[in-house]
Amino acid sequence: MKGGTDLKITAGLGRVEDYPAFIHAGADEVFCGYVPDRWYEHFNMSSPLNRREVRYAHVQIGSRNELKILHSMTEDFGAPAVLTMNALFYLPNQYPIIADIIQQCVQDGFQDFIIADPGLLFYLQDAGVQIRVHLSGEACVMNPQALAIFDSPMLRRIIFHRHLTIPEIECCIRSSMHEGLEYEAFILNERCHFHGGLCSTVHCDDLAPMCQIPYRCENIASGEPIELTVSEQDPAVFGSTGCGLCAIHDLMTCGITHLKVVGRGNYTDCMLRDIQMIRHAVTVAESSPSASAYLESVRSLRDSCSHNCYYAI
Amino acid sequence: MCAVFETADAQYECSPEDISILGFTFRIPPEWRTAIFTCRQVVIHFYYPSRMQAVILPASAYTVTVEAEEPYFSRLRLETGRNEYTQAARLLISDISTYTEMKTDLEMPELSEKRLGYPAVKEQCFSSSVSAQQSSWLSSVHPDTGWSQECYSSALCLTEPGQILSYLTHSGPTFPEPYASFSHPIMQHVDTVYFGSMSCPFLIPAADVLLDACAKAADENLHPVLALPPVMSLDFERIQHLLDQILPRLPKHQELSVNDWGLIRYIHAHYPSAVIELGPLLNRSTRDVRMPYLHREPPQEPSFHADAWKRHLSDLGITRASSQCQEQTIPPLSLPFSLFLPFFQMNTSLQCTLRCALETGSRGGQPSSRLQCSRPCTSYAFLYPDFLHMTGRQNALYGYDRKALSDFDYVRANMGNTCDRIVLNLFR
Repeated sequence: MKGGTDLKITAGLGRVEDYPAFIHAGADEVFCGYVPDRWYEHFNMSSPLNRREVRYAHVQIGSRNELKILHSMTEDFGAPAVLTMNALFYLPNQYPIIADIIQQCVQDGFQDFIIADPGLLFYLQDAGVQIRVHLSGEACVMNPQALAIFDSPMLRRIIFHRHLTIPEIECCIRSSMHEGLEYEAFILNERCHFHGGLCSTVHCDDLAPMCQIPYRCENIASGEPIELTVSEQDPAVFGSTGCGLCAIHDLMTCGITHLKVVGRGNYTDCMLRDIQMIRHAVTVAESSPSASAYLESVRSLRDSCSHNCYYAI
Repeated sequence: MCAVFETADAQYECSPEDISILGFTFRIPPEWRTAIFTCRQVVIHFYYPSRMQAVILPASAYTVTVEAEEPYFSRLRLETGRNEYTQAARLLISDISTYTEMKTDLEMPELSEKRLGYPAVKEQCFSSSVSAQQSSWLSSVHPDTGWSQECYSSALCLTEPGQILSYLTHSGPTFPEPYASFSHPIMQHVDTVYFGSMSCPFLIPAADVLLDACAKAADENLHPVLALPPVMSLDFERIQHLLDQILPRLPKHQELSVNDWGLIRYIHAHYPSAVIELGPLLNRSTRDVRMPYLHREPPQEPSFHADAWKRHLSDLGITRASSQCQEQTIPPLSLPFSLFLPFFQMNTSLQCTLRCALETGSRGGQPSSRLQCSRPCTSYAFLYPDFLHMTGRQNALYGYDRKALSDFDYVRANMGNTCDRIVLNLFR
């Protein structure tokens, strides 16, 4: 159950029915995709609304009936749901349609949206749409000067990209002139080798992610190969695809307000375990007087972890 | 699949929980209950891998019953005997079960092979070396007459400090490798040189080197452009300082190809006369060497044509942009732009994959320091399966456009009327 702490956990939701269990496990908020039927009708799978070109798995809130059910749940549980509209780019004729979809979601009670395309942010701003924007880590905002470009009265939260280090995150937070912003950092799962904001490749049902294509490393001049270890990802191991558990105390002290547990489409059991573990770690962090004391307290968790670290500590 | 229940004045969009050839179950919020039972028809959209089919059922053709009442919803079931529905549902169920079986039984490349004709076995076939691969690609370039006869302007990219130093040590307009040995009509049209990296801040040379390179280029009647990569916050000050050292000593209208929004803001605020080209990494689109297997049409219009984009690009002092040849003819931009070829960026890492691999033995490891780099990318690279025509250079992954250096009509189609520069981006 929630610990009533300041550092909040936001968890990826792939199916409405998982919401109550995720909140009971310790999530303070969920984020999820919603793709209405009319989007598929107009643009089919090849123009994703939120970076998931997937038909065969539960990674989205299916349609408006589910969205309304989710909203009723959020009202009862008091833990909001954030909707992702986080494709890296859209076509000019898609902006008005997305604005309509967002307006309809607002009518259904949703106020917070994750946005990664600066063009969509500019469009919504110009159109006077009243929402709270969570600027995605994939908006290619990597420094305070870039943050200033995307500042807007709609801006509610900055989500820092996976590849930022804690000192870099701290630098951005300290430089921010925008009062009252929330700051979110990735904490668990899907730590890609590449930068999502600079990833132009497809993510669909029928092809592996580009980062899973086999590769070799070699000396260009001599052709001499370099031995590499390609890590096996066992979903049974906590944080097997990326974990920042050791960094929670540091993230908390540098000003992070929300921790993201990635997992739209993950197995429910895995997500529940992940949320519970991070909730436990947050509770420990908040009662630890220092980062070293925190690390000592979570030593047993670290011993069984994947060592696939989000942040260098 | 999605079912849209229609009354005279409203629509109720429902996704199914469970589908059979006789009907489906679905959940509705309590406030929809009355409407769903008084609908005049339901339109059911079936989505298959490459098409959509709509089945319209009038209210007389189906029944809806309540299966269960739950705290937040009612679970309903629609049943119909209409043949049209049964056939469409059978096809969808078959598609889903086939996919599910494949996903369970097969590795991803084999699944791709079954569904898309992707040659899975070729994922294990590599060229003998990175340099042999590039030689093979470039030796199969056969420029058509358009490359010699058409009028166009071209540029070269010198991305590594070593290349720029090599350029400085040669007298006259001699370019370093790989350009020196590249025999192609485009080399006769070179009037511009890009100095610096589009992807990595550690490849930006020192201020004096950049100044000397720009001066030499100008002496040789070449137009110098400074290329700038994405920059993380802790490194921003270093790049900012570098710009403050060089821009006051360069012509007022110095052109920069910039791949970082923060740097664009800084340059426009402090050097408003500088010409800012929006770099190729910030012109985002889908770029993937595997696109032919998906049989997707390219987008009909670039994102930047939206009015909201145009106004903000103008506010940031951006007067030109960049595009990349990516094995498909894509619609040209409406503002002046540079067209990069034959390599197109597909992915870039800011925790350099090459450094991680060399330092930790794993491409996904943690680099020892974010602020220092010994530039191993000048000696090492990633090799990918040969049939995919892609290469891992520096901190990025590039596709190789096989038509770009041969077929000028194809390049011309990508240039439209506003491209005023073709940029050649070869790797050593």
